[in-house]
Amino acid sequence: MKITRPLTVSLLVAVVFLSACTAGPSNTSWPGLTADQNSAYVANASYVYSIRLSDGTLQWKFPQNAGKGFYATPALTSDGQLIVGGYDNILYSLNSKTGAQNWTFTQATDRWIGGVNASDQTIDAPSSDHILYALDLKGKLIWKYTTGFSLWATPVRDANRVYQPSMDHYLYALNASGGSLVWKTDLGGPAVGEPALSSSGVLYVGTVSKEMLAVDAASGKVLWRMPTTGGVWDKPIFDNGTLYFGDMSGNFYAVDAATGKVKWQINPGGAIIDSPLLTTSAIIFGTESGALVSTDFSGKILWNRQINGKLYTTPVQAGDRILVAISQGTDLVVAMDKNGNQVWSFIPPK
Amino acid sequence: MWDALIITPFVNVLLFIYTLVGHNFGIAIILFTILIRLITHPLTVQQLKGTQGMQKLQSDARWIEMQKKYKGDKEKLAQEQMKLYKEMGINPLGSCLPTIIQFPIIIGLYQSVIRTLGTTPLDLLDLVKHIYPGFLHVSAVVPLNSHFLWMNLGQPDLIHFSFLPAGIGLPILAIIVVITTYLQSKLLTPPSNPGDQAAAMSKAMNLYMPFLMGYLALTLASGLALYFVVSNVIGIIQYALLGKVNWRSLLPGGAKTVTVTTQKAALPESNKIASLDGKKSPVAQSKKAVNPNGKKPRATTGGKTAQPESKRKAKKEA
Repeated sequence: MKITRPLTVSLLVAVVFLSACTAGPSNTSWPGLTADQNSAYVANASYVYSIRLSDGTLQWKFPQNAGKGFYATPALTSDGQLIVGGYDNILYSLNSKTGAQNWTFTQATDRWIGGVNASDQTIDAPSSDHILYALDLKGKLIWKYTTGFSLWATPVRDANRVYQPSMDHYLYALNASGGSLVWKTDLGGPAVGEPALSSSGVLYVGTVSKEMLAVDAASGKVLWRMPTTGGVWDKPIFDNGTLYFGDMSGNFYAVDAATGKVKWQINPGGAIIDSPLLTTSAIIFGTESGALVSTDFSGKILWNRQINGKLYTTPVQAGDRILVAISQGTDLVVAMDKNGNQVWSFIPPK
Repeated sequence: MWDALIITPFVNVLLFIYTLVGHNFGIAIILFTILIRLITHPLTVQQLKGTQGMQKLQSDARWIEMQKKYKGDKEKLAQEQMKLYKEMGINPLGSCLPTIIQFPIIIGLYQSVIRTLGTTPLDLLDLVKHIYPGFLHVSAVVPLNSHFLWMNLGQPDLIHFSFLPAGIGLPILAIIVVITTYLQSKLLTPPSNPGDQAAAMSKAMNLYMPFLMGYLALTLASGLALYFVVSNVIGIIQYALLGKVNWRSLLPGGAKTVTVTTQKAALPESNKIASLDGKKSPVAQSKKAVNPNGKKPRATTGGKTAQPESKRKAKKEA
């Protein structure tokens, strides 16, 4: 038929135009990265990969056929399980050595975006379905608590309580044994980053609406608020009385944890989305513009490496290697030495 | 450039409406779609005028004649066509230029709905970057309340009924998208000339597009499906107000074609083309022109009349 060609062209144009706006698993989040002594584990798009630390080769991938999407940071338990949630609403327990599936938890009704907090006996799993699930190490539900909106932040736990920031603007303190509410505090904005908990019982949590807050873990009272230039997505790292974190404007702050006063700040360029890595001698963080920056503890830049891609994921230290997960680049993971020189890179197999 | 000129302003206006209507994103999508359609309404009218001008031109005896006469001489044909354009006061770009101008606006509307939903980390990161700091506060619009009626606008719509087996749901919104897309394409398609390739193509598109849109509504966030439905309904209302909706095409056997003859071209102008005021239906006028004896036009299949070839030839000769 004469009309076949123009019809086909029109339909193709319509399909391309409309489907261009659909969100596939490769462009909705960034890789989740963790490591133990021998392996790195990265959740990205359709798979979870286990990479040998010595040479960057693939050990296993899960699942065998492409999954719906894995971005939550995998967490290792004390008994060798790797816990990772998927965009298929399923929380998976894998054997970290082989990648074999141990168990699944299927009660969530929305995606797993935030990583779980795995302790010796429990797994605190925040879901986008607004619910924090507390599971035992076999994946059996112990309790659950429903908040007002999606949970993207990994919770933090002490001996008695679990602290969960929510996108509903509240920070929740829940009884660790039964999941009952102890207190909740309005943070004034959505919180998507994990809180830091100091040994003196102060929680530090950032919000996307440009604030860092210190909250008394016992009462939920806000101790101080520090305005930032951009939204805060990352967990602040608490070290020796100082908090280190970045914001969406590209500022990287060192803040007095007692008062919320800025000690120093630098802006190497590009939004800072995830937490810095603190080593014994340096602070290392990545930026959206692909810069991996190392500073000393006074804010002096030691080195700055440009990486092909965007750095949204917290760098991870594994032995003498620094692992960096890359979004929208050629490599998925790059291993560097302490001076920022590349040792190996990992590109996922096709 | 695209983001700064189209997407960012759209996202901010959409979110501003959202804050005005009590954090109801469904209502915000509906009002925003209406607003954009109102703003682009003059372009729609221009487009209709241009289309009508071209239809008028193509049924003119001189136009038909010159197509035959200069069939082998494209340069001469183009010259003659330009002369006729000038003589009849028609701008050849009159129908496509407004469409070209509207196209980025419609794409922008579509993309801004997607961006605003912000249901994944990258989407939310992107959304936060697009919010004008002095205009809206992030804490007022994030998280976005994406619940509207029975839907979560950030997820594909699927309703699970108790009478259905577990795990099986009904895609109600996708079904409404299919129906409204079909109605829109059916109602807005003007009567066509037999053998008109463009009309045959649009007829085929009318069949495929509802299913394509239905598939997209089934797989994409229901906020977009809601936008499809609202856009379809507003499109129908907009054309109805302009008197350009072919209501008869909904009736069984109502999709008739109009047989082109040189006689039709010779009829008075008022009988051939309805005014934009919609006082006279172009469908009715055209049918009258073709069937002065009051007989119904013949039904068609695939854009061609069911009349025997010999009869059509005889008619043309007459």
